[in-house]
Amino acid sequence: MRTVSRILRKPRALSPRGVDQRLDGPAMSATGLEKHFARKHAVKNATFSVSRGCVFGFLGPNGAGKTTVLRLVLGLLRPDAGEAHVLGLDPVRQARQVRLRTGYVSQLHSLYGDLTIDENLRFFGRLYGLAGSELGGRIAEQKERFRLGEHRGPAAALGTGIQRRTALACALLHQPELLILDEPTSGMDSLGRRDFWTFLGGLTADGTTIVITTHHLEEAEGCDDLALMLGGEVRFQGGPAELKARYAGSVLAVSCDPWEVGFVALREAYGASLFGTRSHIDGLAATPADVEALLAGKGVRLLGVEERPPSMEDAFLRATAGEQTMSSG
Amino acid sequence: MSAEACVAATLASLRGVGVRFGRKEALQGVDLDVEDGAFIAVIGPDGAGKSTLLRVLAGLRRPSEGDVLRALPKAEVGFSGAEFDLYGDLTVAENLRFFASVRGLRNDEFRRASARILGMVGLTEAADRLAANLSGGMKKKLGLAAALIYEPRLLILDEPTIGVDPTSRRELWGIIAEAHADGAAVVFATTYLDEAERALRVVLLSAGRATELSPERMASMAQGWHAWNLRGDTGRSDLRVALARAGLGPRAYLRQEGLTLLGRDEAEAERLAGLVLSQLPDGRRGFPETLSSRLEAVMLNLDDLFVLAQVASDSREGDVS
Repeated sequence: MRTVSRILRKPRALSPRGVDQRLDGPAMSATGLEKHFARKHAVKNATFSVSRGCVFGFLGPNGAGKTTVLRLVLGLLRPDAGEAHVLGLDPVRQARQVRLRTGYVSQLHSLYGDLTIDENLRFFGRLYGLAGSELGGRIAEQKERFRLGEHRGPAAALGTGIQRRTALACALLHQPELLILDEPTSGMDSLGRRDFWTFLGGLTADGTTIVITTHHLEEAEGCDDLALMLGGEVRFQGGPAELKARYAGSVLAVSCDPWEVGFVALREAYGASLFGTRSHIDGLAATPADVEALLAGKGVRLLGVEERPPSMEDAFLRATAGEQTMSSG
Repeated sequence: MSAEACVAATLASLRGVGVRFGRKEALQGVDLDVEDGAFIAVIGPDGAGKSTLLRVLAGLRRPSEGDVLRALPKAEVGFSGAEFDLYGDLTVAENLRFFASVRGLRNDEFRRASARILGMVGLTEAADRLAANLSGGMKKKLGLAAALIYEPRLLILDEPTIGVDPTSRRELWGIIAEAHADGAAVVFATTYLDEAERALRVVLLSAGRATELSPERMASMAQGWHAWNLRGDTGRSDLRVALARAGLGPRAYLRQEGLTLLGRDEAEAERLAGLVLSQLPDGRRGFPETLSSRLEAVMLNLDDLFVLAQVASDSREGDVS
């Protein structure tokens, strides 16, 4: 435990400027990572690099390999081939140092449900080698930061949002340089999400690097850099604007009467989604003239077609739709 | 919606509904009418009472006070909860058969409905798989299928897309929209306000009280409030740090176009923007002395209204009519 505490007290870069100069190299990187499970080629030749001090998002449908990549990089799984580095360390041979300098919040079960918030915090703090007044101070700091003071009773009995805040507090007790969050905002309400993102901004201020996975694609817009994973491969790395530019065209919002019939026809032909009584379709799948012809054939009156800019979700769905065509064709 | 739709029959109504859990008032004086053809989103923060409201509406929970009027038999109300509440050790088909038998569907009726519903939710190929082994998205689809198996006229869905990936999310909304286009009224709870935009009506629950966000109500909530966007060349990561340091709460946030501020007038937005910019590492360099030329009024979105409602209820300054 003593050695552990000493490692933890290693001086850290505190100023937001100059962090990159003092600590060289990326916070996290992978080259040609491969992982096979019994029946599945889970990660294929994954290569990416996360700069220090940024917020980095991993996107991809379920089963695309996001969690597996994170577990490989953290040294929780061994890669079949390729290599990974975390804060300049080898996650397999230097697993302990990696864990002491990173915080990881998994999607589920990162808390002990039958322990209270305080007991969970103490337990995780001791795991990281904290003790005595230092541990007490860090716990008080995290409880205030995450507004956890008023909640008693076993963690399992608390609301999802509070459980998530507690898990995050546990992962931050040892002041990690790299924080990895697997779907941190799933189940949070919109105020909670806005709060959470402002809070992440505060963490990056002292040079902490944040890697998150999310299914809420508006959040992907808050990241500095993104990796899109599909079928075990990192298919794209770049900023949110680049991802949108690469995959999205405009969206057509169609108003028609009767909207029920129009929607069913547009859904069958072009995979339309319904918003109120308007059907939204991918502007690359159909032109306004196509829409008009289709609806006329069904005896539906077209009231209007409005062209709208794509959302991140539109870009994501375009990218993954291409994937389905490729794997089936 | 055409004028005729306004006189659509009411399927279910809540009148002055209150629910108490011990000392906690989960719902207070809630009125809600669900008409034929309705598509209603129920939004609100964690613990606002969304799930309780839906369970009362579905007849799964008796209110402590007030009345629940239902113009249709319980058998025509489909409900799917936020958590996976089906049998993990039964297959997909067996789960559907169980729910159909509970609702008294005859065998031939079940066979017809199950083939159609399995096709509709895309689980035909998975019919013989154990429910426990399905992915999160497939479990949600099975929950939806179990609610749709008896072709309900009223479909009540608690967070129908929670925890699923964007692909499954889009698919789930496709299925729900299809059921709606087919004639089912839909009431759903969500924490994703972009999902609320799919609805025809939005009800905001806050501390157990319901407010219908009609266009007029939204306009009055927004009254005097505006969202302002600050354009500038400052890097996103610097702005993010400055925003966190400024500690302005949910009235200042980053969106794709830049820094967004909620204020009653331009002067207030300018003041808030100034507080954020003063936290930048090189101060306001690159920004003019007066920021008004860089501030652009933008539309308040549903998230902003939600935040304003919270700010109002927190400070008790909002005098709700």
